[in-house]
Amino acid sequence: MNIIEWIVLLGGLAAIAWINWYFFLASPAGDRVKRSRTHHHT
Amino acid sequence: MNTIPMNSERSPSQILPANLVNPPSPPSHLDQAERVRFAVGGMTCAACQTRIQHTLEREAGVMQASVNLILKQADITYDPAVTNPAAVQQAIIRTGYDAHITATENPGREEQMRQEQDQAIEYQSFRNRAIISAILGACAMVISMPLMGASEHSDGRTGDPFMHWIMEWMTPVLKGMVPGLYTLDRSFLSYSLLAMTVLVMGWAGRHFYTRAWSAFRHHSADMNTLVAAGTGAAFFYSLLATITPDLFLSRGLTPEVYYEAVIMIIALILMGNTLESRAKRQTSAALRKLMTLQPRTARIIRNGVEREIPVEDVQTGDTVLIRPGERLPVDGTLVSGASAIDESMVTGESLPVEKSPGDELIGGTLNTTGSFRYRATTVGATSVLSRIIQLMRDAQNSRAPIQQMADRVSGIFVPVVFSVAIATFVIWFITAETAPTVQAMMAAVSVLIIACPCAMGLAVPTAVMVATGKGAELGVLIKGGEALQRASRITSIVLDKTGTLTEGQPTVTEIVPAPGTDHTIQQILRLTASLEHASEHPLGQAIVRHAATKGDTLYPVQTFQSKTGRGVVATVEGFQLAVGNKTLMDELGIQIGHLQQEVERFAKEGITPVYTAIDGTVAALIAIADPLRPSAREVVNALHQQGYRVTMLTGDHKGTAEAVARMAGITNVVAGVLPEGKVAEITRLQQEGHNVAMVGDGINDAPALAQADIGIAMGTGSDVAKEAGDLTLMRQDLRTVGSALLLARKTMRTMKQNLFWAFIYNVVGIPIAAGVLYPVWGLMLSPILASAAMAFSSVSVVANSLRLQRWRPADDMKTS
Repeated sequence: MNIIEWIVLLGGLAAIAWINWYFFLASPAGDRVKRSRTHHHT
Repeated sequence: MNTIPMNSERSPSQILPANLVNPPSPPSHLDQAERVRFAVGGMTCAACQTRIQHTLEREAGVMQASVNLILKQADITYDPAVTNPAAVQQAIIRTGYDAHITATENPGREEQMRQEQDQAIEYQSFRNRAIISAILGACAMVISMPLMGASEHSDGRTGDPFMHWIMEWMTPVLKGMVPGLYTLDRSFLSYSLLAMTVLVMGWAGRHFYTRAWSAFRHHSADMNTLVAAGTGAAFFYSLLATITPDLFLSRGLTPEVYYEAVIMIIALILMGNTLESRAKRQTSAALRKLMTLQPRTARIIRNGVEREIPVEDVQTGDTVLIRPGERLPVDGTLVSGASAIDESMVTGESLPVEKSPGDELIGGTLNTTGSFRYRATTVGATSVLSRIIQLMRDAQNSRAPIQQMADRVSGIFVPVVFSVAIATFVIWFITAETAPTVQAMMAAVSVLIIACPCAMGLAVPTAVMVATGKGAELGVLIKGGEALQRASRITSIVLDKTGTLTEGQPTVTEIVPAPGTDHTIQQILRLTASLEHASEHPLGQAIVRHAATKGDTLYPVQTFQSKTGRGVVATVEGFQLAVGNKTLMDELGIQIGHLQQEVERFAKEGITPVYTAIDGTVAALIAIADPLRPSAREVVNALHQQGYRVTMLTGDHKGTAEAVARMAGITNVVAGVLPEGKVAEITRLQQEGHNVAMVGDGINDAPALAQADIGIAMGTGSDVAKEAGDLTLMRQDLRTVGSALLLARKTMRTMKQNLFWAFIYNVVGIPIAAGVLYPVWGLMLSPILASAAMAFSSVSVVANSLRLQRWRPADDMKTS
């Protein structure tokens, strides 16, 4: 594998990791607000 | 503000007598909650639905949210101390969809009309954009030919294989027809294609990008994201090749453009959306039919003046005039005149029903030949037709448990597809021998475009929608998807006797004159009926009704005396009459004589004997029974043939119960049970491993109906929409029980087929698009073909659900 292919491979892995983090793990700002409000109410 | 207070919700305690149900108390935090329903615009697939659902669940103050993709609405329960409908509406709009609060004055009807209008607008919009995109796409494909012909990589193994195949076939034709096309400058062709693509992306396909961006901002992804990413990747690659071709040429690459693919992908997906939109409209065809039943105007008499007014202005108590061939505008009670009414569209009853003064009439039904006047009793949202429409809409809004799997998959589907597309790009880039960038991009774009969460989202709800419509056509109101799913698993059917297997009303079945009596049967009946007219006993009333059917006029009665629990004695027309049971006869010292044999026969047949004695001698024996419904035996036979275990439950004593069971062909009989006993018997069957359906009259049998896995309530006339069952029979015809259970099984099969094809489409399509067949057969999927496959996957699922519309119970009865 040449350097370009290594870059594409690592870039692809990073992109997959980021997508899964962004859609499954990172919460929208509104969610955090809601959680804090709910916590405050209880 | 059109909010719905919590207490306006239809709860079991409102459907059933309060002492018969014990619904779970709502959580205390819901006591002050309010409900609001929004019409949501712009939802295209299951992922959209999931996204709005998640957004609402995250919204402060929202306690419950239920979003429906097909009805395009969201039901919200919220805490008014924390939020309000406007805030909830803004939350939906921020997610990238339209939302407005729906009217609640006449919810079923108005929402259905709004939905009809929205669906028509959506269909026209998709159709127009699809047609124009397809025309531009065809032009783009023609303009692309000279560009591809000039490509160094036009050996059919690089770029878009579909376009290369088209090119080989079309180039000689085009060169002959439009030779000038091949003399045009390459950059001019590329920029022309760029302009067309920008037009299609910015107008026809704009919503893909705006909604995808909106979803992305909310950490969510749906079908629009896949389309936007796939076409966006092809567009930006082509844009780079158009603006900086030297960048490609300096690296030994041909600056190929894929504008035609972008346009065709958008055109094909819009075409799929158009077909899907039309097919989805057909799933609510039954509701649409019901909607058209009510006439727009009514002819009434108010203050002695006949006038025609809009149906909305009819008030309770108004006298409505009906002529032959007219539809009834509202519910009511017949006052004068008589006719036969065709109730088939509302109750499924195929034969016109004779109506005379005092009979209840249902709005929307069709008068046949007579003219009559009737008094309006229920109008607007509380009318039978409106309630049926509302119940059907609620049923269509419900979710079947089997859908949960599809929901879970579509929730994680798009990010997983993105991961697969990126992996595809990387693998192709590293392993392809020629033009790796182009091949990698084509494969990745194909993966993004072919993946379709839509079919999974439509698999179950479309089947539920068509099945509820089909149910209404057969005369069965189905509570929802869950009821259908449970009904499909039934193994044992418990039938209540009185009112279910039997007519539910004591009727004179026979009059046996005593040997040697001087009186004729007609005279005996007339005298007995005259006596019983003063009595309120149900058996006496049966004799009076029987005399009325014979046209007998009654005599005045003298010296009437009721003997509680035994009968009555009186003087009628100078005769000393005694009518009652054996105890009364014994008490009066009257001999039964030769009638004893008949009494024994009656006992075996479950018939109650009433003795009529005239002047101290028995004159006749009147047989009174609750007759078996004409269809009972046929239905029980059919249920046995379909493999169900059939049991009869009754509070009656053993002899009568066994006689009725014998006539109906039932071998499992449980007699002498109170309502609690019925519940216990159903529980026992369930403990034996049976899934039990209980068929009852909906009021007396409410606890048993609730205990059973499926409660099937037999409705009567205007009560059809009030009943308590998971399935409600809109007319008192037992045959619909078998039809309803067959429909449930058929619907379940359709749901499973739909889910299977939706999943298998993605399981097979995504790897092919990624190029797994290329190493063996050199087979690559074109993004254009991928978009066609994606567009038609949803259409095929909806079409399969629509097959239920053509299904007839007789089709399955032959095979069962």
